[in-house]
Parts: sequence; C-alpha cells; structure tokens
Amino acid sequence: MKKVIGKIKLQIPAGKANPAPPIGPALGQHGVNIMQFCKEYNAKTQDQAGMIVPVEITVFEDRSFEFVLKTPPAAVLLMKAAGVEKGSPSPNKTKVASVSKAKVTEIAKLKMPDLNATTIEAAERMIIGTARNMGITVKD
Amino acid sequence: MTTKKEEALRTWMAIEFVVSKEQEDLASWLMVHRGAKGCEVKPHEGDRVLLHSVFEKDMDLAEMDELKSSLEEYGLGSCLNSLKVSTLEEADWLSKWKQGFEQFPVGKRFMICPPWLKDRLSKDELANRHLILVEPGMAFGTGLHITTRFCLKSIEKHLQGPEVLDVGTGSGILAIAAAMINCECDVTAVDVDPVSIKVAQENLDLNGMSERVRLVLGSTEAVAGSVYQTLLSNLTCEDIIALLPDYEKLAPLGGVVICAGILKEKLPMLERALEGSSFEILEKELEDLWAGVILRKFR
Repeated sequence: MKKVIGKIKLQIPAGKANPAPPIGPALGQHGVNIMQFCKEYNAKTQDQAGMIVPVEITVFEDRSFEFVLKTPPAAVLLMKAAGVEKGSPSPNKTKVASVSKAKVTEIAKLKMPDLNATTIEAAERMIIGTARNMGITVKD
Repeated sequence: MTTKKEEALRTWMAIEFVVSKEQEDLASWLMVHRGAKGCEVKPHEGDRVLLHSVFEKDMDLAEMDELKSSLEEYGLGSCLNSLKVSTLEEADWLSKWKQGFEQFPVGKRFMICPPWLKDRLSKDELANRHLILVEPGMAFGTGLHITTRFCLKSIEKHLQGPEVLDVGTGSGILAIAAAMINCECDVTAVDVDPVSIKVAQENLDLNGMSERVRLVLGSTEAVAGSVYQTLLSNLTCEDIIALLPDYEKLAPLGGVVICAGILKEKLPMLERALEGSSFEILEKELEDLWAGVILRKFR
C-alpha cells in the first residue's frame, strides 16, 4: 500500500476549480499535478453548478492522489429548497424564507454521511440549527 | 523600478479564522457567498478547524465590516478573535510537481517536452516526431492527461483543414499540435480565461508558432460566422453539450469535432444530446475515467 503524505480538504464551487489559490498552494506543496485534479473535479461536479462541493484529497508518496466528493453544505441545500438566492442579511431579525419539515428530513438524509450524527433526528436538529442561523424558518 | 516579471505577479486576499467542525459548512458557504473563490479547511486544536478563504480582490474597510457583521449574524461571531487577513502573492505552485515532468512521446507523431529538458533529447527520440515544448503553467494541457493524449492522437488521424478551431485552448498544446502536423492549416484558438491566453501565447512563442495560431480571448461567439473543418473541444461533457448548437454553425458538412474531457458515466448524456443534431459519432474511445469522441457533421 502506498504511503500517504498529505490530506487536504477544500470547499469550492462546483465545476470551477482552477490552479489559483486556494487550490494551487494547497496541492502544490505536496507536488500534486494541480491541473489534473482541477480537470477531474470539474468534470465530476459541473452538473451541480451553483453548489459548493467539498472535496477531500489524499496525496501519496509518489505524488499521485485520490479524492472523495462530499455533500454540499446544508446552507446551500436549504437555500435551494427554500427557493432563495441568499440568506438573510440579519437572520436573527429578518426571516427570508421557509422550508418544510419534509425538506429538512430530505437534506438530513443526504448530509447524514458527512455529519457527526448517529441518528436521523440528530442530523435534522443540526440542519434546523443551520436554517435558524440563516433566517430560514422550518414549517411542519 | 519594477521588472516585467514583478508587474505580472497576481495577488489575492486571504481571510482565515478558526471555527468548530459543525460550523465549517456554514462558514465556508458564507465566505463563498461573500465572494471567496473557495476555502481550504485545515485541522486545528481539538474539534476545531482553520478556515482559509481566498478572495480575488481586496476588501475596503466597509466591506470588511460588513463581512464581520455577517459572521456575527450567522452565529459565527466567536471566530472573530482569530480572524486574520493577509495577501497571497502568485508563486509557482507547480514547481514541486515539475521536478518529475519529463519528455514523453504521444501517438506516432508527437514528442512533448518541458523547455528545460529540450537539449537532452536525442536524435533517435525525435525521429519522425514533432517536438512540442510545453511550459506546464496555470492552464490546462500538458499532454500528460488521458484527455489531452486522446486529442493529440486524434489530431494525427482526423485533422482536416484548411481552418481549425481549438475551443478552450488552455496551454495551447492542441492548437500547436494542429499547426505543426498540417502546415497548410490556419489555426484559431479561443479561451475565456485571460490567464490561459497568456500561457498559450508563451507556449506559441516557445514553439515558434505565433504566426500560425491566432489567439482570441472569448468563446465560440468570438469567431461566429467563420467555418472550421476541424473543431478541437477538450472541455467537459456539459460544456460540449452547451456548445453543440454553435458547433452546428461553425462546422461545414463533413467537418469533424474532436471531443474529450467527458467522464465515461456522462457519455450517454452527450449521446442523447446528439440525437436530432447534425452530428454522428465517428469513433469513440474509453480509457480509465474518460471518454473521447470524434463527431462528424453528416447533414
């Protein structure tokens, strides 16, 4: 088995990877072929345009790499579900939109593999917390 | 006095702060939402992470205040104590990778070589091959990637003139290859990224091809009204599908489009998009993750 020399996590917009920062410096320090990563990331994520698709990259001693795509941030999924472009400028005072409880469950299920939650209820509570922080109310 | 090289250096603004793992997603979203190109998430003490976000332009004081208050509004105010702003200067992030970049043959007719190794090439290595010098920079196309190799091999086999268009030229490698293999061809290369145009120009100069290849900043709309017997299209599946209507106008009857950068699993998407178009698939090749396709305009 090849020895791992580095692990890198990036949160980047789908289909828009390029060798500028933050990607260039993060991968370059490990001697990774940056352009190859960008090409593959963009090809795999372009159908999710408008989303942020986090990625975890493992670099091996021969400078080859593997990467795993993660689920988009709950904030992005909530905005999409609520049909709004952006969160509230002051989420504590102004609520900009609402989502149904069913949507929250759907997002929680999707996010489950990447959340630090053991039950779907716990995952839902995290999603509801994010919604509250963004000025999105959850309706039954 | 600044040298030419110093003038060309790009800079970015970096903002970094510490958040809990639970806040990572929300904080990253907020930064991208406020204009960051992306964030690197680095491990920090305990279950906390350092979020390093990069912006293309500097912020003025008012914009910075707005960003800070939005962090507070979103319940991320505790990160403000650790918030640091710095300037990142362009550097050769590929330098470590370049140490392993050596010359290599592609197909039957090409030899790709970084400029610093060209004197090391033997006559035998160059026999019957066109030498393409590529400075691996901040643009796509070193010749190493399967998709670029597919295009180079397809250029050997399918290139027809007199007019060739390279869409999304990146480093310019395909345009250079086309101009080298057919000295009767006029090659035009377009790219929407100004950095790619700059890198492509450098590679054209390196290969003495500046007179043979016309570089244009833009996409297919920049060459609307022209006709190209060969189109080179190493992009992504989605890009290629979006450009098909333009390719219909740019290609004459019998014209070919060399398409690459398509993930194997997305090939059916392209095949569906081709139904009812004027293009048929002449050839396709699958390798590793990727599919390469040659299209021909048949009606």
